[in-house]
Amino acid sequence: MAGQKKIKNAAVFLIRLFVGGLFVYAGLLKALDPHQLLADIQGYRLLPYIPAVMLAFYLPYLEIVCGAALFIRKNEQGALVLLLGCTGLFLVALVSAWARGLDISCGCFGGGNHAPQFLRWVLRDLLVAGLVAVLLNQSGASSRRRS
Amino acid sequence: MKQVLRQSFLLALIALLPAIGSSAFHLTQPGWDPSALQPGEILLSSVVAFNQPVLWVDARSQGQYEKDHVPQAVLLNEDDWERQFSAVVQRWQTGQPVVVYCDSQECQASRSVAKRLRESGIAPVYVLKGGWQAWLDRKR
Repeated sequence: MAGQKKIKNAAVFLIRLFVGGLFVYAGLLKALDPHQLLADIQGYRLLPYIPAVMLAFYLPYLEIVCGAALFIRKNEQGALVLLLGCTGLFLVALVSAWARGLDISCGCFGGGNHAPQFLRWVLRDLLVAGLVAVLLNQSGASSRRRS
Repeated sequence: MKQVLRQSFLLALIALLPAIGSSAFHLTQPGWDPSALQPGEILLSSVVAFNQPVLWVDARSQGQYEKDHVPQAVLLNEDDWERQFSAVVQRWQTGQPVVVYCDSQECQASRSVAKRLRESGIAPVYVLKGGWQAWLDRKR
């Protein structure tokens, strides 16, 4: 029983490390080139220009801050809720672009110059959303145990 | 639940600070004016004013290209890069400006193709602001 718990804790630790690192990395790549991120956001044709510019400046730092919160375990649940929300919105935007047959770059990890790979992007997004949900569930259970 | 929302709000607020800093000081920050030229973009009126022939590159799909394109434009997209790229190289003369266009202002293909062309050593390469739509509007 204790062994199982150790394995579970180690798995959760690794998932947290992976998800936190992934969002910090993705955020840094985007933060380096807001111009490219704006072009990617515009490609989705969902937002007018000014909100797209605001998102291009804000989204990278939201990802970095939330990813970092997972590492330092401060405000963890809040970070997970935000990341789950972001991932859900990315998913909706991707599926919508796919349905409209748009020629876009995902913009997930900074600028890409490849042909659209919607299925791959959607599956990757679903995987990340699943991992965030696992962490959120785990984090909720831990805080319930504490209180 | 209230605590989680408070945490989310706090993190969202923290992220706002570097975002504001980035919007003020980032070296490659995009402009707030949608009509302003982004780096690498060129207006059709500027292309027309060139005193030398430019090489037009159509980054749309083959179907769209076959339907209509800028006169003398060569097709170059990610679908068949290798074959089409050699055709571009054959047509391009050293120093000749290359202008890449795709469907409209929102499409990404022209930026991607322009980037790959620059990486291949071709210069100068521009992206036509407004793309094919700008070309059609010019004729109106």
